[in-house]
Parts: sequence; structure tokens; C-alpha cells
Amino acid sequence: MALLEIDRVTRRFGGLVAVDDVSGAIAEGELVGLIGPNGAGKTTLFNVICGFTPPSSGEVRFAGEPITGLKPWRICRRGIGRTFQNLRLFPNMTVFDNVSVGAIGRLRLGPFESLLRTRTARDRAAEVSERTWRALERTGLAAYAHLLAADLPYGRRKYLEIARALATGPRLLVLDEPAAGLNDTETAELARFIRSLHAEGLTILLVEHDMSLVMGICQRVMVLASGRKIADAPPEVVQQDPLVLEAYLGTEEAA
Amino acid sequence: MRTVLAPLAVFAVLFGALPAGLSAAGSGYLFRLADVTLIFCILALSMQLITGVAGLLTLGHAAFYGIGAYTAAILSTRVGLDAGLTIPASGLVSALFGVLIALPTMRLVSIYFAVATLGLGEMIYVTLLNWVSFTRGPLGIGDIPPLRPFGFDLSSPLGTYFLVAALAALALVVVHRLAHSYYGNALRALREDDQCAEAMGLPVVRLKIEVFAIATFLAGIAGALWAHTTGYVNPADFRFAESILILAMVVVGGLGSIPGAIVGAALLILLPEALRAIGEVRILAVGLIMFLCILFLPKGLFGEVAALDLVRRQFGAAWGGSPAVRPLGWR
Repeated sequence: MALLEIDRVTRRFGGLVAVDDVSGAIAEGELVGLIGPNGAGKTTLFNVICGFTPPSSGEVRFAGEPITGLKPWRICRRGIGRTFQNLRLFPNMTVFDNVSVGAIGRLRLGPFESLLRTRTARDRAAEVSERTWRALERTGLAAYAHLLAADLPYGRRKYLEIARALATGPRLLVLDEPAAGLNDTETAELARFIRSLHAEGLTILLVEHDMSLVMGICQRVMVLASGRKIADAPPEVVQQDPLVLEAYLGTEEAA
Repeated sequence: MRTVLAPLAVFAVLFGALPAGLSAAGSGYLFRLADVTLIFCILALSMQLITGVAGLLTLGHAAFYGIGAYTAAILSTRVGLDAGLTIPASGLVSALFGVLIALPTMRLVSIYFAVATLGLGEMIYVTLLNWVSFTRGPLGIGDIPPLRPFGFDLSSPLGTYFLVAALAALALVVVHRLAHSYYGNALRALREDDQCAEAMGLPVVRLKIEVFAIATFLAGIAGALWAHTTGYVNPADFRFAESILILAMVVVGGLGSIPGAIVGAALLILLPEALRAIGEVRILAVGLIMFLCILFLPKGLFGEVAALDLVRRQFGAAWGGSPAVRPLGWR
């Protein structure tokens, strides 16, 4: 069964149709890429999935249940973890505290439990710290745990974003342009890391501008152009698709 | 070791050295000064929770302090309620108003929230001033009985001091535990980037309402203590300037820091008193301290975030330029 189903989603901003009647599905355990030229509607579709922008029409289902119109925090608790394109860390908090925020959301820590230090609060706190360490170790950030996020080297910040998303305990991880701002070596390292997460059984949707990353690691690629889905096939097929070449690669070469 | 020693030292000073010293000096004025400082410690701690930890710039905190004071004043003079009950009741009434105000305003974005609290704070002040049949308006309410909770006579300067100190210590424990726990991490995440915090599974609006309710509860308690220790309340004590004074304490001490809130409160209450000799010019000292602090100590004495940074983020794009482009401080 499909983990994520996008069912005829349309999103209009005034007269502009940013996402136009897009459907698609991601099965459990898949690693899917979502690509398209600038302004194709990738980010809008992403925001519709994560609850930041409600669709004008259509429905998004996760694990069989509709999530359209739910608040972002509810969607996160259902199991969709996300990262942000332009790095949105909590700069005045330590790396550890940044990641702990992801774990806290899942475990529902309330004020009175923290105040009275009840047994449940202590148990949950222990679980938050365990999840946080696990995510930090998975992303190779354990050594930086007590550094302020603002002081983290740029290349590591991407991993902090991913660690925080992993701490929410996602079934689907949605990465928004993770390769933006990285050089070739760093992109290759990131590609290996994403593939290793996928090898552990995590379902991943990779929204990306960088073709090489997507073509290199994804099992299947969806292509958006001017808000419409123009292709949905394995990378080697998509690379030969004349529509894609015209809409995406063609314009890239011209530019 | 440090984690045990620091609270022990605070409690030893609060319940040992300070009252012993004050008794030795035998001056009612000094006792009064200690009480007022501790009341403002409670106010600064509660605002620290909203503004310093959760990052919500509130400009109407004095209104909740006022609601607490008037609740205690009215319940004790008209209903004859015991001080042991008026104090928690003041906290609850203030928190009730806090929740009522938070429900619509917490959905507002950053600077609009600050403006809304400013407006609502003024509305509460104007209500206290003009609802003469209920609050006696500008005359204020006098003859508020001193602190005799449940038959224990704490109306002596030392007894009053101990009750105020005990409640201030309680507020300190509450704010400290909330701020230094995973719950506090969730609140800090709101301060840093609330949209991103929501994407990480935090129910942002509910957290903001919760923290506002807890902080306004504490402000209400501070108001009740003010009413009972002063014996007289007047709307002028709960004006906008008072909100700014509390904000200045938090900014000078440092946003997000609990020792900062206490040191800031002590500094801004005691310094103007110490400067009494130079006359009314001393009021300028408060503004001057805040000004110098923002220039030379952008993060206050012990803060986690620079105050100007927080304010700048409230304005968003309207301020123009990122902090990296426009450095803080002296140029």
C-alpha cells in the first residue's frame, strides 16, 4: 500500500496555479525524487504535504488516512519529518537541544509534568535524551552536541536539520533541497548518507534542484513543470523523456 | 556539586543572611525595599518565561500584576477573604485573563502580538481607572489588611518578608524547572523559529497559551503580595511604564536567563533607591541603564539572545537587513 498518496492536488495563489492537478504516490520503503525547474511548484507541493499550505482542491493521504488541512505539528506527529531548504536551525540553542525538540514533539511533554518532575516526566525525559543521542550518532554529530547551532560548520548544519527530523521518528522523511550550497564532495557525502538511511528502511522523498543527486540515488523521479507532473519514472527513463528534456534540461542548457 | 550549591546559596541568603541583616538594621524601610525587590523578582521571572524563554515580546505584563493586586484588594476588603485565599485567587483570576487574552492574540504573528498586549494592557489600566463603582477609580482601594493567612500573623516586617520570600522562592523554582527541562527546550524553539518548531511536531499555539497562563498566574501572585504589603492599590501602579520597567529588568539581566531576571530586578529597584539623594533625575537612571546595556552588553548580563535581535525578528522584513549585515552595538 502507498504510504503517501497525493490525489489530484491543486493549489492556486490568486490567478497563479502553482500546483495543477498533481497526483502521485510513494510506497513504503521507496526513495523518490521530486524535481523541476525553478518555479515548477516543488516547494508548494512540499508545503501542501507538510500542512504549511492547504491545497485549493484535492487530497493528501498518509498511511491511508487523509491529512489535508491538518496543522503541521499534527502531520509531523503522524510520521512525516521534514527539513528546510534554507536551513532553519534554532541558532541560540545547542546542537543537542536542537535535536531534542524533534523528540519532544513526539512524546508530548506538558508543563505540569516538568514542574512536578513526575515519574512519567522523568521517563519521557530519558526517552527524549535517548532518541536525541541516537539521532546525533546516526548523523555523526555526537561530538558537536554541546556546541551552539550557530557555531556549527556549514556542512554539518545540513546534518543537524536531518538529525532533528529523524528525532521526530518519521515514517516518511521529506528533504527540501538538501544539496543546496554544498560542493561536489559534500554532495557525494550527503548522497551516501541519504542512501544509507534508505537502506535502513526509511521512506524518503527528496525534493531537489540538483539533478546529479536525484539521478544518482533515487529509485523513481517525479518531474514537475509549470505546476504539472510531466513524468514519473525511474531516473534512466526520465533522462530520456523528451518532455522532461524540453521543460527542464533544455532550459538549463539554454541558461 | 554546582547544581546543589547554587540553590543552597540562594536559599541561605534569602531565608538566613538577608532577614538576619534586615532585622539587625531594624529598619522598616529596608524591609519594605526587600519586599518590593522580591515582588519585582517574581514579575521579572514570569516575564522571563514569556519573553526570554518563549520569545513572545509582551508589553502589557503590568496589567496582569494589576489584576492580581485588585483581585486581592477587592476580595479582602469587600468579601473579607483570608489572605491565604486571596493570594492564590489573584493568581487564578490573572491567569484566567491571561488565557482569555492569549486565545485570540497567540495566533498573531510576532510584532502584532506585542502591539496587542500593549493595547490590551492599556485597556485593563483604563478599566481600573474608570470603573469607579468597582475599583474606586483613581482613588484606589485602601485599608487592605496585612498578611494574616489562616490565622498566622505575618503582619510584622519580618513575617511579611518571610512570606514574600517564600513565594518568590516558589516562583523561582517553578520558572527554573520549566525553563531547564525539555519543556523549556520546546519553549526556546518557539523563540528561535516558531514555524519550524511547529514542523517538528510542537503544538505552537497551545504551548504559547500554556506559558502565558503560567506567567500571568505568577504576575497575579505578585500583584496580591503588592496589595497586601502596601495596604493600598492605585491604577497608576500598573501603567505601561511598569510593564516597560519589568521588561528592562529582563533585558538588562539577559533574555532567557533566570539569574539575569533576579539581578535585573534587584538592580532596577535598588539603584534608583540608592540614587534618591540626587532627586528625580534618578528616574533617568533606568533608561540610561537599559540604553547602555543594549549598546555594550547586547545579551544583557547573562542572556542567551541579544534583545535587539529578538525585537528585530519581531519586525521581520520590515526592519530590513539581516543581523549579519547590520551588526549590533557601537560602530
